[in-house]
Amino acid sequence: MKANVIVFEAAIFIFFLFFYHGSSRAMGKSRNRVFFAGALLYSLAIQTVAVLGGVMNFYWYQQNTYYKHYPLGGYIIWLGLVPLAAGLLFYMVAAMTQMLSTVMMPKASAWARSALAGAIAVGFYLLIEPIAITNHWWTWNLKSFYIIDIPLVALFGVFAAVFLFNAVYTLTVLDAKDQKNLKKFEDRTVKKLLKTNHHPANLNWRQLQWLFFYRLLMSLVVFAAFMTPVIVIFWAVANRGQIPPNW
Amino acid sequence: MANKRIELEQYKHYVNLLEEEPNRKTARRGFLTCAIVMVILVVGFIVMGFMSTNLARNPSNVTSKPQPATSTPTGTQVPSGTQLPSGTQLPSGTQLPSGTQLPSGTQTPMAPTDKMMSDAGPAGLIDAQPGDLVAQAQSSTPTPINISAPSTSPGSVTSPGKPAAKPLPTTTSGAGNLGNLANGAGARGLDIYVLVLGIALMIVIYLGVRRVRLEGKTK
Repeated sequence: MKANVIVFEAAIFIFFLFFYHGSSRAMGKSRNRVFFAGALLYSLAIQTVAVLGGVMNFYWYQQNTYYKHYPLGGYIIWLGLVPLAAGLLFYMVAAMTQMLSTVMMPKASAWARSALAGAIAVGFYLLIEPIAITNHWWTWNLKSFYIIDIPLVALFGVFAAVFLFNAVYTLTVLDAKDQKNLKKFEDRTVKKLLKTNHHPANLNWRQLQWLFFYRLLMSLVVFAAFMTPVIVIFWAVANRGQIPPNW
Repeated sequence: MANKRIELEQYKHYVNLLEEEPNRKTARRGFLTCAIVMVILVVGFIVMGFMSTNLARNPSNVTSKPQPATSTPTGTQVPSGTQLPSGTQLPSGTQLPSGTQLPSGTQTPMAPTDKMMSDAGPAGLIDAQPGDLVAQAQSSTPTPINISAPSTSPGSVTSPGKPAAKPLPTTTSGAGNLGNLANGAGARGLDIYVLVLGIALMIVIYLGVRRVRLEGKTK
């Protein structure tokens, strides 16, 4: 038996069902729903940009003649250019790290808890990445600095994505707060659309969800601003060239 | 009327809070479920890591090309005595009778029940001569496949006056290569790596579980 993409995808789907059930009880049904939707969209946005930018791809099995004969080919369910399993994996890692950081540092600030969540997520991906790239679940094409064939950019990306996602979730859904530096901007944009000027703690659930998705969108901009210099730096000290995504 | 509206809004929020704050016992059980699922997932990844060791030992496996799709239909039977031109790619399922001469450059995929060429660990099956397969099978040391994918770093335009900059290889070396880790520690490097990391993650999850259980006991 090989740890090919079918094994990976089937395992993720099965684990996801049990995990979702557990996290619904741990977080609350609505909160977990919004966390799941947010994590899926967040990872989808990041990974779609990565695929379009030639940083990574998920097509190895689709291009391989051998696997064209395989009963199910490569991944079964796709969300555009990214397989659903990759998004579900991100959700499970982000949710677990969020719960762990909350349990382990209950009195710490949201930023400290998010940083811990990001660090634990890096640990998870340090375990997943070597197996993923060995079995070609995904392939890194970027010209960058690699350690054990994992681009360091990817690890920075995982940390930043989980850190920002958890920070937004904590500061919007768990401890709904106005962000001083964002308040004016939010008053002019999202709160105008929601036709409210309330403090986030006084928003109803539907409005709070929209505020969460809006802040996630803003955090994607922060993520891009953080990742750009990281990519450039590792591009400059690269030890592996770029592989064209379609070889 | 306005008061009524505010009251309703507050009530709505109150209902949300009731739904959003499950009682601590339910929340603890939910956390334990998630923790157990993630521990099993980590164990699963450790097992998959062990299963991947053979592949990882090949230093070029990570950057190996997918076998390209061919236009020849699968299951084609080549007549006995046929001489194939060099460079011919045979799809999997092609049956070669005895007497068929394979020139160098012919790419012969394995049958679907066998291992894939680049997955087979001992690489170098591409461009194999008749009889080479036996030698490859007897050899236990994996040898890398040399990928000839050109480096296409943007902005690397060479001016005629300057010497051309050395293009970066598309394979890594040293600590950058997973094959070196997999072949290290008596070819158990990757196993040890996933085992150590997996145990570390399980300890972190256990610390969380312990806190939750302590909370449950104190209340």
